[in-house]
Amino acid sequence: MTANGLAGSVLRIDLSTGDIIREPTDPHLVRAFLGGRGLNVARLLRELPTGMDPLAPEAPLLIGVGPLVGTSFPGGARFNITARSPQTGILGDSNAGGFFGPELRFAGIDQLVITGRAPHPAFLWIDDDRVVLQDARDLWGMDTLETTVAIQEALGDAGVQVAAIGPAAEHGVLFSGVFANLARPAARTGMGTVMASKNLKAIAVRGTGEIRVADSGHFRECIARLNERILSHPEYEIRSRLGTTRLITSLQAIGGLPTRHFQSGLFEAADAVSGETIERQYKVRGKACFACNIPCSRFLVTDDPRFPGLRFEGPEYEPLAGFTARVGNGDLPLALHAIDRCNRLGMDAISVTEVIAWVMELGQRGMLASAEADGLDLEFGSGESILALIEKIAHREGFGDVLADGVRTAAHKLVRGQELAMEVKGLELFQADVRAMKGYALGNAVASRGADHLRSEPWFEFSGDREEAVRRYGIPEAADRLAWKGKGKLVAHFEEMASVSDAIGVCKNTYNNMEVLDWDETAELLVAATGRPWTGEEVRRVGERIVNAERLLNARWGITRRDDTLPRRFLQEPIGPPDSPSAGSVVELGPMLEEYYSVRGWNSATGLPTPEKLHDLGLEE
Amino acid sequence: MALRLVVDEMYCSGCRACEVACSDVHENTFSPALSRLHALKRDAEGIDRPIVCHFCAEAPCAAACPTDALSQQSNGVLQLDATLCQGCGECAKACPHRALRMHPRTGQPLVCDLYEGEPACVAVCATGALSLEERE
Repeated sequence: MTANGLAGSVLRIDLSTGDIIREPTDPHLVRAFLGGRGLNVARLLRELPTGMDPLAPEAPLLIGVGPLVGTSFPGGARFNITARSPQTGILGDSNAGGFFGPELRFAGIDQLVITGRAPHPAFLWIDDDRVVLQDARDLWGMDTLETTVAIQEALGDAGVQVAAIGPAAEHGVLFSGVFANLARPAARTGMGTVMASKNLKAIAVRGTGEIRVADSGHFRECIARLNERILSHPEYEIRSRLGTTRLITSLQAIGGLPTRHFQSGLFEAADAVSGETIERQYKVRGKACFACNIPCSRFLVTDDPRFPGLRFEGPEYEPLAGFTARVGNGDLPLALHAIDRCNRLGMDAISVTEVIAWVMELGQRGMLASAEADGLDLEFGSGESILALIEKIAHREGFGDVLADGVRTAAHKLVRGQELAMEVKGLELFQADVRAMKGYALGNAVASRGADHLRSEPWFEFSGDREEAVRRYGIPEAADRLAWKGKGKLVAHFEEMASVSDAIGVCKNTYNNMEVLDWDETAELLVAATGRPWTGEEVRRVGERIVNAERLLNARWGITRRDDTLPRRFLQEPIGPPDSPSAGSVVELGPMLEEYYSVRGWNSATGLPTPEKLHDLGLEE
Repeated sequence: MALRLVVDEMYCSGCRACEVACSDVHENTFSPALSRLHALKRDAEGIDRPIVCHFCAEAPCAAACPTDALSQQSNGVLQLDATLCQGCGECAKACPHRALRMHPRTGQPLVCDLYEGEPACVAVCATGALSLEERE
């Protein structure tokens, strides 16, 4: 076992032939891309033919786990699952925490490369060095919880980590995810749909191996410092209590909730559905990902007679705001039930809540009649319709079939509502109104997997710290959420941080939002882990390289500046209501894009990397 | 006076940092399978339960050892003489708390020694689910 922080191998599985090949992790690729998301995009650039159908058996599905996963790095828990997205046609990539990623590393795996299509439903069983395909015909049709438990029981080991798909993926719903630890989904861009197309119901892994770092003494010192910084962080207490659910209250305070499909930034029932209310009424205990010292998640038990036995880990802010503010629902237990249904059926709650909210706005505007939608009540907040649509979408039944390809395709199919579809590059937008946060607006417009906040997460614009903004970006407005100036620099910086955190396998809550390590400190940790020299600038350049590599990949599928845009509502309609702290704001996207391309060294006419930039980053094709 | 580990399951977040820290200090590596304690987890029921050595009086694990490789010191802590251990696993079978596990490669028991009174598992536990107590 080499003491370099790597698990050591890339495992290639051809589901058509049953061939399984283990090859050593390429140290040159690690030097250039570190791991995880970085290693995945590097392999797609090399191995994915541009014209290949995302659901073709030969299309590769990658799971990458970075070099700090499974170590004592708090929250070094994350894996990335990557393929061409069947939903958007461009880069598909999704990231999740929990315990699945570390277990893969303890089984000696830095990356899984899955191709082919099993002759019948199967699950992959990785038992340290022994890798076998198991019959999963009796699991097909089961939800993610049933599948996980059935596999653990069949293998006689509740410690086996399982990443599973649900019925939605089996029915070809294009926004189906891959669910680890039941409620830790890699939900975005349809990676579960790709898994289903390969007849792969789940991946189960048990690893009893180890991760060795080059300089364990120094690594320990770095982690001790890091732990101290997290535990003494001003946000430690609230993050431990509420996790991301605290955002209901904080976004209400700035008028940035996605109320009734982004028609208002304030939600009248915010208090009733807030993280604080969940904590008070239903939280039993804090829960954390692998080796993390922030129990930001929770196990909850509800007592509403309408939903007997409703108990699960979660929710995160995204599904919570989606099934409350976005669809205009103030009934918290109903929202929690809806979230549990999405998790069990195996769907991305962001996409699901967008298509439901979009349908409700069409209904509100008289653009869609109830009779066209299986007779459903299209009023915002109709709990019955929300729950019915979840099931219809997951099973592609009736009107659900229209919505199961995502909002962009639904608008095409119905030939209406395109201008109301809250998506970028075919991926539905998250649960915040970007007119109240211009850096997030830019981040969503340029993100490499379509509308997405986690590609940058430029939290700094909420800080109001103009002095720090000048120090960092030379522009005081970078610290002002409603200003557009400086946001190109801000987003570029945070995109690089987000890329690095996805590449090394750590959580963005600490690495990006709490900024617990700077570039030099990250390099110090990587030196201790890998035994190779790293500088802060080299680490940053890995982030930049990943952003450029993903852009290059997307360019093959025709992405240009024209696609770096936002739904019309954000660009043209001032946000309301008039008494909100963000009232009147619209997104000034043009100047922000100019600044962004200039910082990136991209051609501002095409929005694509220049040959010089690609050469500089070693990405020439 | 002797020390023992105390578990308060209500505070356990199930993060398993204790397992990582234990393998780090004892084995100089990161490997939950080499940890002297482990978290029993059932995601569907929301169970996260640290399983630790109880340092039983007249420890059944030591009593079960056919070669006297495993012995108990006066403070209750167990000690393994690796040269005597044949890796038969009788000690693990005898553990009433299912806390004692075998090294997946050497086949010998992974014995909690409280790391000279400063166990890394307690130090790393952020929620207070694990603590150290003195007992008579």
